[in-house]
Amino acid sequence: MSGVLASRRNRLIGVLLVATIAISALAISSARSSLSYYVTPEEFAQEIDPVGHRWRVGGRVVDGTIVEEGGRPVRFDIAGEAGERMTISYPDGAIPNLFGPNAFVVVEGLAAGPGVIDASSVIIKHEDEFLTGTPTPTS
Amino acid sequence: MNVLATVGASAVLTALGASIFAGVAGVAAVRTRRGDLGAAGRRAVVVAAIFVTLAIGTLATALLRDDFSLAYVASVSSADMLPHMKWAALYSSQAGSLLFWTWVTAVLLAVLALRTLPRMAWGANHAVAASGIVLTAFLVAVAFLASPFEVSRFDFADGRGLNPLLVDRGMLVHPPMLLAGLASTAVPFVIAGSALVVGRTDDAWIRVARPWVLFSWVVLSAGNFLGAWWAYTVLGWGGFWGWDPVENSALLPLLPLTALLHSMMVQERRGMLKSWNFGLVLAAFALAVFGTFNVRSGLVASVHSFAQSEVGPYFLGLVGLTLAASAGLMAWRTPRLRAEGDFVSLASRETTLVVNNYVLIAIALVVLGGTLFPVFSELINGSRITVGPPFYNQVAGPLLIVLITLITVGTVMPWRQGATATLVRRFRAPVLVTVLAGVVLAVLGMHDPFALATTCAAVAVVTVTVREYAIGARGVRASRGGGVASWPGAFFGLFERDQRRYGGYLVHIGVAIIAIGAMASTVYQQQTRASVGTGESFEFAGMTFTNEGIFQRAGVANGIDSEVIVPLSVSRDGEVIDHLEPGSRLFVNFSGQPMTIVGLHSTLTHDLYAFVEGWDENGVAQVQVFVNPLLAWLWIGGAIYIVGGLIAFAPSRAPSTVRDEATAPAAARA
Repeated sequence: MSGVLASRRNRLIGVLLVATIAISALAISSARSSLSYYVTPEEFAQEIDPVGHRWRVGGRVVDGTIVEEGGRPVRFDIAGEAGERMTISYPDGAIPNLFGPNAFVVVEGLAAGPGVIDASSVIIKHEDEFLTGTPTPTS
Repeated sequence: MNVLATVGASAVLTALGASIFAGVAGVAAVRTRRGDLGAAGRRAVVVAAIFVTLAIGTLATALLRDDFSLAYVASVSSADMLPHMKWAALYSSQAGSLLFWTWVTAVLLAVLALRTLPRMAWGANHAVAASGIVLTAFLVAVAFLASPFEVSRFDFADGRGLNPLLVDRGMLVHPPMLLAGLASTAVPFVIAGSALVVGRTDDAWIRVARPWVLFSWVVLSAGNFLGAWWAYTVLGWGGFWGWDPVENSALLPLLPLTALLHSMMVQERRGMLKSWNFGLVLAAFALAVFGTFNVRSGLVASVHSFAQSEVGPYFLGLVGLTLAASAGLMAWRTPRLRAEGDFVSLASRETTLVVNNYVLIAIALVVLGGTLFPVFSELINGSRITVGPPFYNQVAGPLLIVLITLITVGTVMPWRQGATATLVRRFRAPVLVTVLAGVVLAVLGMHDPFALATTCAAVAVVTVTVREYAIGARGVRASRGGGVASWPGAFFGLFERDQRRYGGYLVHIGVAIIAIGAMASTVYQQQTRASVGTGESFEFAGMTFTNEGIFQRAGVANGIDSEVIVPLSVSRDGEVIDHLEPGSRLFVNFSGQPMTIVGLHSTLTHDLYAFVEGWDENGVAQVQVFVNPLLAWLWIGGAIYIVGGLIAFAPSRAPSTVRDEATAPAAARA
């Protein structure tokens, strides 16, 4: 047996190094299949060939664009900070709490065309910025 | 002038002054070796804790009195909120949660200064200095970056009210538990840091730090369980863990803490893993501070991130400083951190514990890597790429199964070296039981490899642990001589005999049960979606669900405007077996942003879980229904885990702790 492996500690370290390589390989292959690009609507509009890739887009739900079927929202528009709009179709999947006009949402799904995403999930990014509600000043 | 704002802000500043004094006095005491300076520093830490307590008491008073002249109160509370919800408002937002965190740290460091440091023969003054520095770092943030005592710029008759997501009884316990668990990691950090600076690299620091590590670990574990329970019963998506960045931040420090509880034993028994153990304490604290930064920086998009603020970069700086200081200290002390011996055999408990540590840290790195993936990808190629839950499940899932298997191996393996005959004798029964269970389950139709592996690993843990209890209880009965104790009496006697060991075994059983509950409710979850009008029914999982007619009821408090309920009766073979009331909650100040009310009926075999996605004016509702098998066992296992942890943590009545160096009056200085 070679000198390095004479110590039991070094043999254990060797085994754990091999395990590390295996875990890293597993992590890389798993990451590949669950990647999605996080962009704003403005950045999405700049993409040359968005169709067929997975995207996560963060934006604010535009008031008056929510289309409901049987009381459940299935399609809505979101807008970025510069006002770039895109259409989100969301036929199934859970509607998150606090979803509604002006809510900031992060949608994830496949691009179906320029400015259109078929979302597989919608989450709300909750903010605690002051004064988004309507408290009434007394003075 | 606003009295409460002035009192609160002054209390924070006074506490900051006391912390700075403690830090300076501690350093001076180390330099001059003057005991009175150290004592003054300890008292300053206590004074700081008293004033932070005054500050948080002031904020609570302002909330209870509806003092909306404080911007914080106006933004998180409203006049119709019930007192218990105002308690939740205390830590519901950025500034309040930071104050709460700082308060927990200050109180725990004061307990350390009062009870442990005066009796510590080494490093007490270093610990005072470190306490002062840590407290100063947090109080600077509370005083200057995110103060809850800022006065509103307008006069408000009423506040905005708590964010609707947070109006739930679950909010009363899980956030304070998590915050307390994260904040408490500062204490082991202070103790380990002092030991490193002093050069006490033997296991003296471990005996001082262990109760604090156990405390952090129990509280943080409880916080994570309660958080999962809240996500399940309130968020309304049918699951309990979504690998959200903030969930990950709460989980991350728990992994090195768990590793530490096991590797500390290796250092005590065998004098190995010295630098590793220091590294784990430092990592737990750095990860806790990182979590604070992560939820406040807007670094990663999350369900419950706070608003972005200047606190973020400040905490990133603190994480960097913590890591740099820790790495520097450990590099400096490397010559003293050599192991006292090699493994006698690789078939030994210490080897198993090393592998257990390796797996726990591998999981931590996977979770950390996944959480930070968008940040790295943006640095490397300019686009933010996120990884979804499948990544975590595929990588962490197998590692968790390995971890559970290691519980069995570690329980059975003897220290130092296991003779082959001993190993065969000890492993024979559990391996037989596990293989038998696997074959039976496969024949019964469990073909999912993940489910099968999890179940077998859990069965093995329960088998060897029950055997350990039986062997121990037999020993207790035998040792009582003529007056043989009853089996239950002997069982409880075990916890008195060695509470750490037998409490720890209880935690292992809890983990096995959690694994079963989590696996069954994930792999065998059934789900359907239906559109039902009043009086209409749909079939699902052998049951009939009938919409008994949507109704609306007015809200009474907490900013709730009204609730819309879709009552569902559940029947099997024509007999009504259950009744669910999912619905939607509408808020006065958050119009158009409804909250789900989950309709849940939990039994030992399965949970029925329903929520409403929408409805129209004709009374037709869109509902989703889940059947989650064995999910209740997740919470039962969690409860067993926590009870086991508390048994291990409870102050020992056995005389063995007398040898604890921290309590001995005089000991040699290293």
